[in-house]
Amino acid sequence: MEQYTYTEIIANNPDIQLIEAQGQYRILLKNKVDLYSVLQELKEKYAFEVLSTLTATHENETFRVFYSLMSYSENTEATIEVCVEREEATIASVGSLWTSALWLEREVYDLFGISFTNHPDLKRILMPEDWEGHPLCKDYVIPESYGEIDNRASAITQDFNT
Amino acid sequence: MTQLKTEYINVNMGPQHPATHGVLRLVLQTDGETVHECEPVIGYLHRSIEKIAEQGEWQDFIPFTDRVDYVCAMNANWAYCHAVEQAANFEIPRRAELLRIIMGELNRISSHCVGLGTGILDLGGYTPFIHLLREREFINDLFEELCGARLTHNYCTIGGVSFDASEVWLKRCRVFAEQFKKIIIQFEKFAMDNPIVQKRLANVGVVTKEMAFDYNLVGPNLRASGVAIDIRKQAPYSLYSEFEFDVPVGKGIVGTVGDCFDRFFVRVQEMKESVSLVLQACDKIEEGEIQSKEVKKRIKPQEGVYISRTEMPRGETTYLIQSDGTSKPYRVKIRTGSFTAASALPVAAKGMLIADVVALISSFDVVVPEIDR
Repeated sequence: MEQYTYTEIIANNPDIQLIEAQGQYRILLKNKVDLYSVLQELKEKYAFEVLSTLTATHENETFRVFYSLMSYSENTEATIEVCVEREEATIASVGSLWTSALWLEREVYDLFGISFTNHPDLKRILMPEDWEGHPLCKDYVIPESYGEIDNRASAITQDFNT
Repeated sequence: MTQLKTEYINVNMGPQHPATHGVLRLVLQTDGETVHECEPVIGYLHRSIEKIAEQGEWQDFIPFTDRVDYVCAMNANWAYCHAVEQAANFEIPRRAELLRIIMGELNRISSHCVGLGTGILDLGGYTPFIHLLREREFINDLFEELCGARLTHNYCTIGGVSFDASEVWLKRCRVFAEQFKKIIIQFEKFAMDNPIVQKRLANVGVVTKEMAFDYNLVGPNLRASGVAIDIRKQAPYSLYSEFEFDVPVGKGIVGTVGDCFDRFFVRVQEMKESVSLVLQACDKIEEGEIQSKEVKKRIKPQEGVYISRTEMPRGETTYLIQSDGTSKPYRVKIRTGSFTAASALPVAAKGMLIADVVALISSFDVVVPEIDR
């Protein structure tokens, strides 16, 4: 599968930076408002029929959200990255372009806390509904109990360790 | 005649169910026996594997990938090791690559045995399950002799494989592959040409090509809808470009293209291709190293984000790994084939009978630890 050359996209949108890592190319959108229009252009004009992965990572006070697209007809793959600030963690949902995004966005909301606008059903998917906190953030503190389940280290194992 | 008051009934095909292939919960809204809406609820097997990856070092995560999909553990190990090797730009010795291909294809055969056997078991046919599991025991014996474990192998390492296969082992592997060719033909005759199986699966759960792209169905689920995409052909990794094999697609032999029968059919044909790949790899193998010398004890890929794809038995698995230059992963994301298949259940199950929902889940070959990680 070839890496997509983003020349037309970069020519049309000024706020885009091309990044290279071990032979893989991706574009970084400096402005998160551009996200929906860039992805729509990639899907409709450049035949990226499939959204393969949607995920996020947490670095200090920003979330980096990655979108990985594949085009079966042209045999190319493309990756788009966008940064979201922690205080205002919202970004447009691409569920109207690819339905596979709906579950992936629910997982990112569940594990990081990023809200996706215009998502029809944004609720937790992997954790229980009444869980508090977003586990994959780097400053997540594992709770000491959940309901009646106790998570503290037991006194018996403490004695064995000394 | 007065109007009858009708309402939808909510039926919970709960997490404990013999036919949902694990702890998958489907909340069905039915009108009598016909499904009106189906909502999968997942998360019952969530073990926070992606968070655990950030606690240890890069090579410490390999046993956890076994548990992401324990039915095809060799392929799961390989997918992660391939992602890290691509990020750190390691060269793998040729013998290790060929051993990985042999193990990966043998595990594809055993994973399809489980998928097909339990699929027909859910429809009520008990015999194919027992026959295929008997054959799978030969593969498990081969793996146990090689690496000590029948199911969770922990075989691939970053830079190669952990145990070498002797000449006697390769000979036994060849004997198994030759014998298995006859078993597939036997299975096709009594299970796939079976009129009951064909009636239960034909025209059920038809997935069109557009729907498959929209929901990102991968692997045999995508190929059954007529799309000839296989990552081993589109983006060949390891030594797959040197091998000759076909990519089977669904043809709608007994019903429409993309129905449940096609998904079963594609898996049976894939088993034939895997047997041919195993025999080709056994012919190509030569003496050599099994672990790359340039991999140090502490692996430190260059800082950055990398994406890699491999073809696991349940479809294309994408690994996104982020390294911050240290010997601990910063982020590991696994997007598996069963996750996308489970997300397509609501739209594929509309308007079918509850008994057909059972056939649909087993035709998608959904394995719940892959969905929840």
